[in-house]
Amino acid sequence: MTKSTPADHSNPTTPSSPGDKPGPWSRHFNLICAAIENLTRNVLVYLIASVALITGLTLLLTTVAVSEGLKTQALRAVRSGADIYCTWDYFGRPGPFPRSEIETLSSIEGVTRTIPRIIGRTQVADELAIVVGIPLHALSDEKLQLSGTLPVPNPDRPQVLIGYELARYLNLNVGDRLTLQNVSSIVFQVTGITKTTSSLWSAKAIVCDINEAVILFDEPNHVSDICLYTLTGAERRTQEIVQRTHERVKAQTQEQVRNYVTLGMTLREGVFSGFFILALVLAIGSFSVITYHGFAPRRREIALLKAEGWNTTEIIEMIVVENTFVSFLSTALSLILAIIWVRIFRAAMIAPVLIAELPLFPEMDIPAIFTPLCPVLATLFSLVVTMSGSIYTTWRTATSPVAAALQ
Amino acid sequence: MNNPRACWFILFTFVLLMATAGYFSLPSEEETPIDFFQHWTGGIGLAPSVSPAWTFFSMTPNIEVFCENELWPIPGLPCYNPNHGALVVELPPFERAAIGE
Repeated sequence: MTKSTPADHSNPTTPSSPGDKPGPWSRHFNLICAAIENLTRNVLVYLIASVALITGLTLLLTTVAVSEGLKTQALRAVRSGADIYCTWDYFGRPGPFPRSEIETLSSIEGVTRTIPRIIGRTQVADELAIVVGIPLHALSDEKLQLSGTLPVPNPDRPQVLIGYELARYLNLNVGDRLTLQNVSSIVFQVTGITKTTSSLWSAKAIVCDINEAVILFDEPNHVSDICLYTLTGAERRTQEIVQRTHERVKAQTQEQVRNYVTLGMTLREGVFSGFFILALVLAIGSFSVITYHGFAPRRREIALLKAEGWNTTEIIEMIVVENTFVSFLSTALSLILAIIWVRIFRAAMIAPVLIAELPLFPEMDIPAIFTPLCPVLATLFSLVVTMSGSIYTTWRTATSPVAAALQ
Repeated sequence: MNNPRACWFILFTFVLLMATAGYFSLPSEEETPIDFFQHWTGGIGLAPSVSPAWTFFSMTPNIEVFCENELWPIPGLPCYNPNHGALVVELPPFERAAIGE
């Protein structure tokens, strides 16, 4: 680092050459030039001081982007799902839906398709996976992106589709066999594995035919829920009719689920709120101590500028310009780091903290959306850190006697 | 300004800011309006978890409308599910938000 030479700075009110007339903007221009020269001379100090700031900002931007991405993917899932979800009320919570009631729901006017589902949990090696049993024969023409093929109902050799992360963890490939055990035990053949670009919630899912799920969980008389597809615009009316079929039937429309996701996803809580406050406090403190408060050459430089004839406002203006540059640079660097972290490294190391049960180094695409709000938020954050860490200490130094500041 | 380091600094700042602005001016990735996995399975997921290891509520809250760990083994105790309040978002119990609207 080159030693600070405050004498390099000409007085900002003085024209750069004797013939020049100081214009209304020349003073500000000179201050900007002085600020840039200060930054280049103290680049190492600023880099060290900005580490805490850039780390905090990268975390903040990553979390906001993943949160936005998750919300978008959840809303897309809602849009792609059923029009009405029917469950059976047991003790005020959803319970197994009797198969005997399915026919009643199918016969309601306006219902175009009825899909019963069994959604259960089973242990595979030391992982707990979600098992989704659906009638495969009704869905075999879907254009799902996967390696291999979609499973088809085959009582002699049951077939399954498994999620990418589960297949990776169990080291399974298309054609391999997989034993699932709950109440009963079934040997499945893996016919398809979802891709890394597939829905996040397919990561550890096992999809099989509903009849095999019935055998696996030994539950021939009940399903988990019923998905109803209705004529466009008939959802509300169908919901009312569905709920009248039996006092225990609970029906949720797609609109209700969408409202829930929108409301729920805007409540950004979690451990990160605490981390950000901590990061903000640490960043302000470290910035202040490293750049101004504890950095003696900078204090002496400010004192010498005062001795040279600069007034306090000019010194503070120069420091504000310096820190505005630092804020914009920190924001841009943090944003680029966050984009690389999420898009290229798939939020390695932080993924299981953001989204539960993901591995430390996931290969699935992490949903993330960097909205224009991200740089705005980051710039505000870094301006707060740099200005809080510099303006007061600069003002204190600039208003104290030159001799005291030079010590 | 005659300092070459200052000129390099201005150039670096300009390039960095242009790169950031360029990222936001790129057209967003084309996404099909339908998620075929969700369409195929009728829709599972929504919450920030990829497995129902602790509770179905953490993964698919329209199937289990609140955290089952709140009722078992001892109902009424503070919930021991480590995912509560520790993930990127926290979803409220489904019925309170959607059914009771």
